[in-house]
This record gives sequence, C-alpha cells and structure tokens, in this order.
Amino acid sequence: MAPPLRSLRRGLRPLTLLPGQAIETFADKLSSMGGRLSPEMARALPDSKGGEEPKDLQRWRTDAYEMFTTEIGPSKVFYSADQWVKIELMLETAGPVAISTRAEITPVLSGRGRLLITNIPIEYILPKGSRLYYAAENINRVGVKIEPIPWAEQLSLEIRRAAAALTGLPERFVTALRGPRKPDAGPPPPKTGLSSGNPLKRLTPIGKPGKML
Amino acid sequence: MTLPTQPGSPESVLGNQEYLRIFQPVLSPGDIYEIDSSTRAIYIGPNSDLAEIRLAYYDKQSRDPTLMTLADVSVNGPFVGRLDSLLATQYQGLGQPGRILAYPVDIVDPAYERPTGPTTVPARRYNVPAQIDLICALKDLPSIPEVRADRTYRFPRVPFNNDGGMDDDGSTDLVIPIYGRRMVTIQLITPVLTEHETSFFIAALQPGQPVEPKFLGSIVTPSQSVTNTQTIVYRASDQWSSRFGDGVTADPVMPTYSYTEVNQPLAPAKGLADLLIINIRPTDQDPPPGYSLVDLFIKLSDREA
Repeated sequence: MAPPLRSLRRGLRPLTLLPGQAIETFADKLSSMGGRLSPEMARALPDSKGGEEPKDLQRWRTDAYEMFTTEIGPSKVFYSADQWVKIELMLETAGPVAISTRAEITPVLSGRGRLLITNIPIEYILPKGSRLYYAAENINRVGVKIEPIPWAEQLSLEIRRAAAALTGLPERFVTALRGPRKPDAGPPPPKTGLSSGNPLKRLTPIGKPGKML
Repeated sequence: MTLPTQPGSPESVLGNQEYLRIFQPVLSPGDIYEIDSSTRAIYIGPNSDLAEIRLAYYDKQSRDPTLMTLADVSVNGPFVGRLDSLLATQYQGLGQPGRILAYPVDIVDPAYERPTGPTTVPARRYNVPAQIDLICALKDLPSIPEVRADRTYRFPRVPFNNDGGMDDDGSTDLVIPIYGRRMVTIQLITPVLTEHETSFFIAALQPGQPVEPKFLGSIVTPSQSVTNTQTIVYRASDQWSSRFGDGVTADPVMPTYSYTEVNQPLAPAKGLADLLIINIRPTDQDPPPGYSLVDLFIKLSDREA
C-alpha cells in the first residue's frame, strides 16, 4: 500500500545528525517506504551468511608486509580487494615495477601502468571487488600497508540504498495517485501462425507434377 | 678451471639488503659479472684493487633493440642514476635478456711474470690476486666516496735463497696489484747476516704481450748482525729531475748498471701503474747456506700524503 504524502513529509525531518548517521537514517526511512536495491547492488553487498551487518566488518585489521615481485614478465594479480581498503605501496629497490587496476600493463616501461618510485609511498583506495596488478622486469621489494575502510563500504551501501529509494519514489507517487495496478493478464495471443486461425498462404500451390519427357 | 662465483642479485633483494656487492678475486681478464637487479648507483667499493670497471646494459633510450650501451665506472667516477636490468626484455635476434653486465677495464694478469734474463730468473714468485669490489645501490642513493680504502698487506717471513741455483738467481718476486694507487709505503725488515738487494718495479700491463716493468730503484742491505727496518715511499707524482741509482739488467755479463738523470726536458714522474713488483735478491759473495726471511709491510693509498 502506498504511503500517504502527509506521512512522507512528516518522515523527512531536517538532518541534524552526523553525515553518516544522517544518510543512514535517510536511507532507512526511504527503504522503509519501498526503496529496493537492484540485484547487482545486492550482490555487491558484504556476505551475510552468518547474519552479520556491515558494521561487523570493522573487525578487519591493518596489514603490513613485504611483497617481492618474483614473477617477472607478464602482469600478475597483486591484491584482490574483498572490501574497501586503502593500500599504500613503497618500492624499496630500484624497480622498474608498474601497477594498475588493469591487467594489460606490459611492457613495464610502456606507461600503461603507474611506475613505482623508490622510497616514495603511493596510496590507492580500492573499492570492493577491484584488483591490483603488477608487472616487473626483475625481482624487487615492495613495502605494502593495507588498511580496511569499513565505513566506506557502509557509506557506499547507504548511498546506494538512498539512490535506489529515490529512483523508486516517482513510481510510488504514481501508484499512490492511480491506485493499485491491475494484475497482469498475461501475454497477448499471437496474431499469426496455425493456432491463430489465420494460416499463412503458400506462395506456390501444391499440385500434381507433370509427365516427365 | 673454476668459474668465478658471485652473489646473486635476487638474494640481495630477497634478503632485504640495501646494496648488492660483488666482491671476489678476479680470475682472468675475461671475467664478466651479471647483475640481475636494477640499481640506483654503481660505484667502486672500498676493497677493490681494480680502479675501473665497464658496464654494458640494454638501453631503452636508443630505440635500437640490438644496441648494448657501455658506461665506465672508476674510483672517482661512479654511475649515479637508475640503471635497469631488464630480464623480461631481450636483445632482438639474440634472445639474451637485457641484464647489466660488468667486466674489468683494467687488465688483469693473475700470473704475471717479470721478464728476465736466463740467469736472473727468480726462484720464487708470489702473485697477490686482484680483487673486484663493485657495489650496486638498490634503495637509497648513498653518499659515494671517491676514494678507496687504504689497503694494507703484511707478508711476514718472505723467503729468498741465500745463493743462486742452476736455473735461477735465488731471488723472490712479489707481485702486488696497485691499479690506480697513488702512494705506496713499504716497511722492509731485513734479515741478519745476509747481504741482499731489494728492487722495486712497476708494470703497466698491455693486452696480449709481456710487459717489461719500469725499474724504480733498489736498496742494497749489507750483512749485519742486527735486523734493520727500511722505509720506502713511492708517490705517483714523484719527480726524477736529478737522480742517481743502480739498475738491474737482463744481461748476465752486466746485471747492474749505474745511471744519472739530470734536467730532462719533461720532468719524468713515477706515475700510476697496474702492478708493483718487489724483488729480493741475494748479493752475498760468501753466502751462508739455506735461505733468509724478510718481513714486508705494504700500504697502498689512493691519495698522496
């Protein structure tokens, strides 16, 4: 049943909370009014096999280690982000090492990837589901620091919820004005074919063949 | 024949080192060292006997996929800048990876033998092997010293025969690499009761032919009852404007000669060389049997003091 416009206006109070909480409140309000996520968006959400909420993902810890570019030649997957992360890389040898979120970055010095510079840290924010590739001409040492950004994932989730709710809002208005939609009557019957009572005519009539000479 | 071994570049990277160091004796003039890691600077290390080393690398700037570019590295001329070892890139038509190669520019003769006459052949010869010390900076660009560390050799109890034999003169040759060294200090502790002569030569090697060394001078020590310490200092810039001395020859009839140098048009200097040869020869007319021993302390320096 469509919500009445008066209650909708009452529900949208001025946002006096923190931005993240405000967006969450706004998204909850809209989603309670009928906003739904597309299947693609739903697949992008964190796994909820155990029923946990996105806030539970804050238990992820910061990781730091040394990575060696032992695979030389073609590009290799360096990191696959299963959540939003901030990744900091610092080349500790002379290189050359190129990185990119695209796989086609060879040759290393071609400029298709970003060349790491010795002793200069470089920082990226990787969204969930993205991958980082590297390509190297020899064995190098790269210092890696990975920090999870769970609030970015929550924020992304809330923004998507809000966007989904806002895109569904005109439909809800129209539904509220026109009343509930009639149930579908199914597809219309075909207008051609044998089952329609209007069979196709043959272009060449079927007749008895003549006598062969 | 044992091929030269060298530390691998990947071990230095995987072992969290900040530099790759190639430090080992040079076995032949054809030794080539492979560097599999890119570097930020290549320079001569503190313990190197060699003063000049040549680099050959794949040059991305040349646009010629068959060109190998050369660069020389010397004690006061390091290669500063990123030099890539491109293992995934191959020279066109060769299939060889574009790694960095290093080899000595200085001529190395591990078995140098001083040319002598038939009766002045030394009974013994010791060749001190030349060391290569090449440092490749992997991470930080260091403050590179343009001088090698002083090199000290201590040779206690160097023997020489008190009398010549059938095929030799009983002497001992000591061949020391001094590539590009500018100053040599020698402390010579002589034995007792044996008259002997210590001669000093320098040799600038040439490819493919025996090199006659340059005679610097000699010291004749008479038979004494106590040991004596003599000090010899040789600087590359020492002038020979007027000098008297005795030289040795390859002529068996006249093995020594006296010479005088005065007012030459170009002031001759001792100069730089590759090898220092010290010959200790018995000169006793009535030699005691057996052999005698000399203690040598030799200090090489890149700077004159």
